[in-house]
Amino acid sequence: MNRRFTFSDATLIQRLSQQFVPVSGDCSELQFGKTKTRDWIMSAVKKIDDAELRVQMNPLKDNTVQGLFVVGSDGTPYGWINTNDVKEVNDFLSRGLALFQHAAPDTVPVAPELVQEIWSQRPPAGGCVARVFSRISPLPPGCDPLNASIGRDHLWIYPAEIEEMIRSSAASTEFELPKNLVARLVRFHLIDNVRGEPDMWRPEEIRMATFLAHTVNDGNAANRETSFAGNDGNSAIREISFEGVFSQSTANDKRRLSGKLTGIIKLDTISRTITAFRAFGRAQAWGRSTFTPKQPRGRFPIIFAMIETGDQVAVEVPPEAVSYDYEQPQIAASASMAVSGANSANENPLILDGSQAK
Amino acid sequence: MIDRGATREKIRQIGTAICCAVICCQAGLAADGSISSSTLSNLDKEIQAVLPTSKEDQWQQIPWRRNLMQARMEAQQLHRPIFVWVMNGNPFGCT
Repeated sequence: MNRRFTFSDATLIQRLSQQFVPVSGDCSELQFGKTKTRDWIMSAVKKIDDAELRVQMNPLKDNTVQGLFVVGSDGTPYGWINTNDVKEVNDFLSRGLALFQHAAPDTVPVAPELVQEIWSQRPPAGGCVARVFSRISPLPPGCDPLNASIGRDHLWIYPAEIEEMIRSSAASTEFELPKNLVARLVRFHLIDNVRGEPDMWRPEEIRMATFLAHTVNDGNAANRETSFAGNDGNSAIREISFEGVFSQSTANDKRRLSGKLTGIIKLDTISRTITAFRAFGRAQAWGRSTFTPKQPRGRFPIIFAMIETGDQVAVEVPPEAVSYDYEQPQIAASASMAVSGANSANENPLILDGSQAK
Repeated sequence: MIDRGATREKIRQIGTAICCAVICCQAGLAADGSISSSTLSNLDKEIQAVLPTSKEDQWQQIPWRRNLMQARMEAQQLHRPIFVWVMNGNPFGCT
C-alpha cells in the first residue's frame, strides 16, 4: 500500500491533526540538505537507537532515513518506524505520545532566522510551475494494488523558455517547443512514478522526443482577455497548442515508455509569463525502476496530466529531479533519432540530439 | 558478418517509429499538423481523468507543515510532539 493510503485513515487523520504537529519532508532536504533545518533533524535521528534504522541508513545500502519520526521541539527523539500499516502507525503514535507526555521537552527558543531559512530549492523567478500527475489507466486486472497509486511531481518552466515560445510563436504559426523544456519533459516527467521514486531517464535512454507547437490565437488586441481575475487590460494572451511524441527505453529494453503528449499554453506576451499550461499524455510502458517493483505484467497503459499551479506547495516542493541537470537536461548524441518518417503530419519535427541539447 | 547489435538497434528504431506514427494517427492531428479543435476540447476532460479524486487526497486533510522550524515553534505553543514523515521524494511532490 502507498503511504498516502495509510494517511487516509480517519483515525490517523484525527490523531495527527489533534495530538501532533505533522510535518512532511524529503530526504534530499532533511537528510542531505546543507541547512540548519537538516542539521537539527539529523541530530535527533542520530540519537535514535534502532537497528533497522541503522541498516537503512548504511551508505553502502539504502542510505536513507525514510520513515516516520516522533520528535520533541527540543530535538528529543521519541521513536522511528518505517511502515505503511495503519495499525502499526497508530501504535507508534501511541508509544511516541506516551514517551512525550512522560518526559516533555524543555522549551528551547527557535531563532527567527531558522524559521525563515529556505530549506528547499525554489522555482525560477518569472517561470511557471505545473503540477504533474500520472496513473495507470485502465488498471490491468489482477495487478498489485500499488499500481492504483498516483504519481505526482512539479514541472518547472524557465523564463528563457517562455521568452523563446513568445518569440517563436510571433515568428511562425508552427514552431518547435524549447529544446530544454522538451528534454526536461522526456527525461524527468514522462516517466512511470506511480509506485514510487523512479530511476530518471538517462540522456542515452531517450529514443524519440518530437514536440511541435502551433499558434491557436495570436494574442493581438482583438484577443485581449478580460475574463481572467485581476486582469487590468494590460495583458495579451497568445494561446498555443503542442503535440509531442516520445519514446524512452533502457539499453536492455527492460524498461520502456512510448506515447504522446498534447497540450495548450497561454502566454501573456506583455508580462512575459505563462497564464495556463495544460497537457494530457497517453503512453504504453513496461518494466520497473530500482525502487518501483510490482508493476503490471507486460505492457501497461499510463496517462499523464499537467496543470499550472501557483500555490505554496508549488513554491516549497521542487521537482523530484531538481538535483539532476534539470534546467538544461542532456540528451546524448547516441540517443538521437530521426523521426521525419514517423509522422508525416510533422514536416519540421524537432529531433533532439547531443548537439542541440546544451 | 552481420552486426547483430546494429540490426537490433535498427529494428528498435523502426518499431518506435511505427508505434509513434500510429499514436499520431490516433491523436487527432489536423492535416496541417496542428491539433484538431475536438482534441483540444477533450483536453480538460482527459486531464480530469488523471487528477486525484477527493478520496485519493484524503491524506491532505492532515494539516501537514513543510517548514520544520515553524513546526517546532507550534509544537512548543501547543505542547505537542512533532510527527515527521520523511520520504525519498517529497510526499507533496513526488509519489
